[in-house]
Amino acid sequence: MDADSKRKFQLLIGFTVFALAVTMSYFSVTEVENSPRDIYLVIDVSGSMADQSKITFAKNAATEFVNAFQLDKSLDYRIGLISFEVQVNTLAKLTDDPSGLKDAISSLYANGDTAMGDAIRTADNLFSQETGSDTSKTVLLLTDGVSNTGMNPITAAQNAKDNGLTIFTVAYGNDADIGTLNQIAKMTGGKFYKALSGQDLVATFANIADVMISPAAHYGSRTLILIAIPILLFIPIIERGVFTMIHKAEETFLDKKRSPGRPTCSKCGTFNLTTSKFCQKCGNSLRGRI
Amino acid sequence: MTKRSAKEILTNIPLFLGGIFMIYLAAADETLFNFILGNTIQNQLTVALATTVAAAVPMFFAVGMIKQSIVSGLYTIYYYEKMLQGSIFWILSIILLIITAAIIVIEGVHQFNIPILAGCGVLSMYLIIYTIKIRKK
Repeated sequence: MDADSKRKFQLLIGFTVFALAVTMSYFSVTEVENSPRDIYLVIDVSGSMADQSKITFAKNAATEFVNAFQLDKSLDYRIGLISFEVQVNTLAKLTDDPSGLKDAISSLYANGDTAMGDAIRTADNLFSQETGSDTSKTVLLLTDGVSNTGMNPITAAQNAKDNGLTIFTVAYGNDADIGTLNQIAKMTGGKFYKALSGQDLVATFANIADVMISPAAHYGSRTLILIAIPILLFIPIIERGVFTMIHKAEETFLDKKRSPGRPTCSKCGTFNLTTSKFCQKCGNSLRGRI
Repeated sequence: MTKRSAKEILTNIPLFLGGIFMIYLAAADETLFNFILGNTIQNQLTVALATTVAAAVPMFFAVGMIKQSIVSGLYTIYYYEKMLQGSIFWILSIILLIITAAIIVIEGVHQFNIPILAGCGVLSMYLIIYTIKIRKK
């Protein structure tokens, strides 16, 4: 095989390895079986939410979110609604009735400070009263500001985590406390999102609904790709290693085949089928039985 | 250790660290993955494709950087070796880093992705200098 053909052959093997990894990766992406999930929408209705029709977009996003779950067709999900400003109000307990929820969403109005920690604690308490141990407990927390009253949100999130809650957080606009929201999402196994505009917010809620309805595990497939790339690129080294191993195995096999009793030249290693004490090829003395 | 080998090691440290950073982008960072998935419908195929792109592309460049820094004696496939010797490989790495940084800026900078953004900035600046040096040679 000439050098150019060899290079092309290596490239072909490389692409085959990569294609194999991608195929295996496709099959290792697992759609996690939908387990029952209870969700509390925890929405900030502090005074700042009245600016730039933020509360209107929040209502639209929450409505779209409820629509995505098709509560009237599915037995797997229940959704509740909590609003918070200085006070925390449970506007709808966990329910599978979409019309009741939408009524509660439309009643949201903006006023007061931001008690984020208290809102998380309220959701946590409600889950402990209403949700069984076999059901996933999820909070979707939306805020446009910084927690400035009530319980520390990180402490509330830590307690919620201990009780098995997952918190997805959405920072709305430029003034939201991104650091705290990100930390809450990370520590509870949720995800942090940022929505700069009202349209972003609606899209973000729809995206979160997608993630909750059909979570996909992709880390196994990512590992496959990570291993495949160095293998693909270092094929010449692997090839050389394989050939060396084959060569050594051949030599070991031949050595074993050479019977110690058969006369072999001590210098050139040639077998001698002769009664002479010397090698027919080089004239050196033979070892082994003659 | 001779003066020359010490100088070579010092020259190669940034490239090696760049390779490690790229491995981190490939293995643990979700920026590219989320960006691709956020702009498509989520199903098994799109998740697999997003995973492939998000893991394979940074890993492709990571292998090159580590190879050039600490294991330059080991041979990779011919066409990759050719790419590494030219400037196209490094230009493509810079483009990838700029895209990652741009996604972070668009999606929102926060305390958890600031190190990634800084890494992208520093590494792309180093690679620009490195590419200019290669082109001069």
